[in-house]
Amino acid sequence: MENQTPRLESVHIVENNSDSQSAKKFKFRISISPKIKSLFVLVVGVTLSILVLVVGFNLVNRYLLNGSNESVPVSSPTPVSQGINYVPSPYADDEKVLDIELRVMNLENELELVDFREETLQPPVLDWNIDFF
Amino acid sequence: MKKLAQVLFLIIFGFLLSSPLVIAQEEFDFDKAYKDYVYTQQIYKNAHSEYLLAKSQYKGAKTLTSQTQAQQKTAIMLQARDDVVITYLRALRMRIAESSGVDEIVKQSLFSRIDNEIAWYETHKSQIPSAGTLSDLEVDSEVAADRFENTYILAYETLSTAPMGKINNLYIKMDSLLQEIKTKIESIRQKGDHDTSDTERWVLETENKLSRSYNKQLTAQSNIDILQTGDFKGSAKTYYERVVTNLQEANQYLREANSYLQEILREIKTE
Repeated sequence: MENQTPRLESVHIVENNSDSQSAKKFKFRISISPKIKSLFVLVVGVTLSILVLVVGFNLVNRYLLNGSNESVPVSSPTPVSQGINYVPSPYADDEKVLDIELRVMNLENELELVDFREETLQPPVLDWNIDFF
Repeated sequence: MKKLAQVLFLIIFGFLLSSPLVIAQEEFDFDKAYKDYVYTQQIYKNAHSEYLLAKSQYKGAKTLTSQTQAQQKTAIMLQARDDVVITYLRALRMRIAESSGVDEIVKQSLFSRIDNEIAWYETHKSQIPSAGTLSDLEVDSEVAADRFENTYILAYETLSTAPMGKINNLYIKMDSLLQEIKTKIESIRQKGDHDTSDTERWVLETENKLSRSYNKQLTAQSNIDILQTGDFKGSAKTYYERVVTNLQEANQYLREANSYLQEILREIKTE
């Protein structure tokens, strides 16, 4: 069975005498089988093609189909009330009705804030057990 | 002329005598009473710590010196303990005095009983220094401990009565608003320029909520009555907790009634 793993065949250090003495060149020669080479080229080609397709699709979608480059709107977590258009009655601005309405709203606050518990005035905890013998 | 000068002198003298008293009475409110109570609690804590130390020293040494020391520290602690109860009762008294909505007869009855308790602890406190032995102090303490059982019940009765005034005020306000709305609906109905059939039905629903709230207040009052008679089993605190729960339920019905009133008003204002 043929061994397909790349193999470092040899490393040659070639000293070029014509250049300066300090310059050195290193050459690596790796022998790869043609099957692996073609497989590698195929994988890289397919990946690049997918990448180009994805980027291209996004660009087309953003600029051509939508016609603008605005950011995608994010949905609000709280529902926005649509508001009902009430038709005002002859009593919509009635002085007495508005006065009662104001007092009803004030009473709502009072009802919400009232506290029936007297935490600070609970009976004191004292030592009643005095015993010396 | 001389008579005029005498009259003027008497008026000025009378004014000078009475004014500081009036100012002193005005300044003593719940906040002041509560601060006094907190202060005496701190004094009691210190006195109690010293009493515990003296007691342990006496139990360990059994000397005459340690006995005398224990006697002194116990007497100081017992007096501080009485002071805590006295200032606590005064704070309770001021709380009920400043509670609006509580019936005046109920207030006077509580004042009278609280004042009796205060007088008892003041007398008891004044008698403590006359105790000759540690046994005498033990007896003094026991007498106060027995008395505190009554004080404890009275305290919870007072704590239950104060919030009754709050719910009573809210109920009266709600009822008054409902009556005004009913009058307005009646005038609209007579005028005939707006349909009132829905609002008239909703008024009945609101009255039903008010009625339920009132029933809860009656239940709370019956629990307070039980506390007052002292004819109950278990702790007075349990009855106080029941009263608070009853009042919270009564308040919830008032909130629902208030929400109905808002709907009625919305209906009146729109076609």
